[in-house]
Amino acid sequence: MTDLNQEKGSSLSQDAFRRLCKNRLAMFGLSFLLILIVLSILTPWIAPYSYEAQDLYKGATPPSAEHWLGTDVLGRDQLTRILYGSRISLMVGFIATTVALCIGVLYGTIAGYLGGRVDSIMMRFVDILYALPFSIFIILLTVLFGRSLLLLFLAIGAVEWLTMARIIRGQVMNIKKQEYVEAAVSLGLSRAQIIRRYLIPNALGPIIVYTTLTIPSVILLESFLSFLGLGIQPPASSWGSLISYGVETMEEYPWLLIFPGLILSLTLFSLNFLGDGLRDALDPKASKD
Amino acid sequence: MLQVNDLSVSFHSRLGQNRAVENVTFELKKGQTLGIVGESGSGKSVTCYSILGLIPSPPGHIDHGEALFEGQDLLKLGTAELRAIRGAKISMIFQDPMTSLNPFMRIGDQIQESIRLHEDISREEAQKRCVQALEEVGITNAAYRMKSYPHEFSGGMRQRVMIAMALATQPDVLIADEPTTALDVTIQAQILRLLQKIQRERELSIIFISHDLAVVRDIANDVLVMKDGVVVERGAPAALFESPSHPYTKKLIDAIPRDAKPWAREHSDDAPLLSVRKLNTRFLTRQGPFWKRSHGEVHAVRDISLDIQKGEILGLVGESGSGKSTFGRSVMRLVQAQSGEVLFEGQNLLALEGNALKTARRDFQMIFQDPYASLNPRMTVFETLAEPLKLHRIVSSAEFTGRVNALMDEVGLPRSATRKYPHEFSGGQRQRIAIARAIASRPKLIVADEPVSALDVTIQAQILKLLLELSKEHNLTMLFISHDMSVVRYLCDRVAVMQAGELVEVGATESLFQSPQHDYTRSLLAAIPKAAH
Repeated sequence: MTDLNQEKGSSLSQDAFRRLCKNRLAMFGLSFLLILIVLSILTPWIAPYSYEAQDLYKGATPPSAEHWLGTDVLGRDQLTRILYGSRISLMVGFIATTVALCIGVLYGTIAGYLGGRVDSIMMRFVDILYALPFSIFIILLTVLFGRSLLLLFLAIGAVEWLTMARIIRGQVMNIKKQEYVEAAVSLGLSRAQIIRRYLIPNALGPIIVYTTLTIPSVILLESFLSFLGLGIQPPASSWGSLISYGVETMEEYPWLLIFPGLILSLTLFSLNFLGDGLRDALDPKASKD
Repeated sequence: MLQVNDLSVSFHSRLGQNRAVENVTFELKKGQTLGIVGESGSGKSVTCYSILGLIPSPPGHIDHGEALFEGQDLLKLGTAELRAIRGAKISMIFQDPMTSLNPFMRIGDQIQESIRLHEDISREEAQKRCVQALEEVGITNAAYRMKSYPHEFSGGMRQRVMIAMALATQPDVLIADEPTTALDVTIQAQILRLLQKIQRERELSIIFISHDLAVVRDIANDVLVMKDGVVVERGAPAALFESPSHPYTKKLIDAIPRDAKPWAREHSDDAPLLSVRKLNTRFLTRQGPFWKRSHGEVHAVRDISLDIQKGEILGLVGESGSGKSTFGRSVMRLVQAQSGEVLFEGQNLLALEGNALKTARRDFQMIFQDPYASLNPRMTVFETLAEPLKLHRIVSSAEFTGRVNALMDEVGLPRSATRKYPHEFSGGQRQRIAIARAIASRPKLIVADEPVSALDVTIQAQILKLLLELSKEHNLTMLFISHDMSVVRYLCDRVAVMQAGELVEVGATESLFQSPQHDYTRSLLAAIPKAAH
């Protein structure tokens, strides 16, 4: 290697990126997600129709040159509705997961690292939140603060972080017993530095895997909330609401289920590929070729 | 009894084929012990595992050879036939008694399971045999102890349980893979004596795999020395020790630390660098579902007072559980001591907090036992070594590379290795990295907690030499914690002996070795394998 490289010392993230680029499945997942994100940002300009424009005379039609993915019962263009839906679904998926991730990782790491009484109190608090029925919790929030998209993100995030915190806590409790953490203490590193440089990087594997599992479950959770009337209201659409609508009319108009279902599954696949790729890339032990 | 002819085993990987064992031939006679010696990676374990069909295949593959046992070739047997022999006729015991017992099963149940797997006998009969087996390995009150779980036994007792389990099926051959490596010297001596006793009584044939020539000398009738998959030398242990013909055997024999320290240190009458006064460390064991109430306590370090002179290497010896590690960790402020003083250059370390403690840490550093666990797997060597430099602002960031390279030179690692991650190094190299990290901040005191006990003997000798050189060069003061008396003799100026949390004897190394005052010290010395004398 060149001297320049050695001077900087290659950090984990640089190495990880290099390794990730070599993983074809992960790159496929990443590109698919990127394309999807760009498309959903550009939707208002590129969508062929308006998402609420109805054509009741036309009704549900199968895919055609005019409507690539067909229309629904009210004659609305399916492609347009999926595109608009991906705006909501991706946003819910990513923002709510980020909220869950941040709170969960921080909370879990602190509880796990400090241990003892602090840990007991922190984890009992998590248990109490676990025990609250989720839908009642959401309804309560909506009643108190009214209905808004932001609230939806927060509400989902606030529930999903609990599991994250538990997983991370277990990991951290394990990692903190390792001698390299003791070595860090004896070097004189502060608690914050140890958490940032030693505990979280070594807990990354499960964090990433669980994150890729959380995003799809959050996307589906949104449709459940919408069904309860707490999430997205028609005529706005999301993948979840399109799918649940598609299920109802599956026998007569299968394309109303197939296309939103397809895009959701492709997204989930991509996330899993990307997640696996990231986990391997971030683990120096996984490969060196 | 067992005749292995021309055995070759290779492992296939993407990088190609790797011969792990090449043309190994040996014969094990009834009632005899065959020692196989070599460092990790020499193929000594693979040889025995492949005889029993225990190597993972793929990637492992037996290229050719035969292993004749009672007239049949073990290598040609099917899985079911092998299973009937494995455990019943040929048993194994492993290095780590912690991991080779199922933690969720009572040990009695585990032993009975292995008996009933091979023999069709009633539950009561199996129970009786289990009690017998446990009594044979010296576990008193066996009928009661049977009901205990593995964690309720100490390391040595657990190894006894393993042996009982291996012997319960009344095998003809016992393969012992580094059975004493994870144990203290005194326990090691007991286990070796036990194996010899059982061997005499049962006419058992033993294959004893070890990296430690000194141990093998005590127990084996015949020794194979292996290196890189090839048997480089064989013979009776005494002859091998007297006149080793292969250079590798010589190297192994030389690696046994048996001499006194090569150079003595001039004694200074200055104030001690580290002065520990009446140090007490207790651990509370807590129990309870919500508010954990203290349940009992372990008094790990009792009223210990100890001085270390500047530039001195003080050995702290004792068995596991004697509190020696806890003492080191209390001094390092890794565990909280309850009372006492640790005066480091006149400053009480136990009273320091926050920034003052952080600044002080620059001057005392630690080397840990397990080089596989003491390096952050997600940091490159460069990052690991730059950490203390950055933290204590020892050099400006522009000089990191130069300083890290200098450290690599000092511990004898190539500069190009700084970009690698810990898992790409061998155990000895990792320990060198850990040493480099410890000396990076130019500390005055180093606490080394069993820094060589996880390493092969040849590597161990290199690391000890490195430590000795570094301590001379930088006038380092060292607290060297070890259970291995011969290592301590090689390295230390003075020795302190701990037993059950108390200091029983302190003295200059040679006088302590020549005329130990305390009974416990005597028993520690008696446990050193003969070859090391």
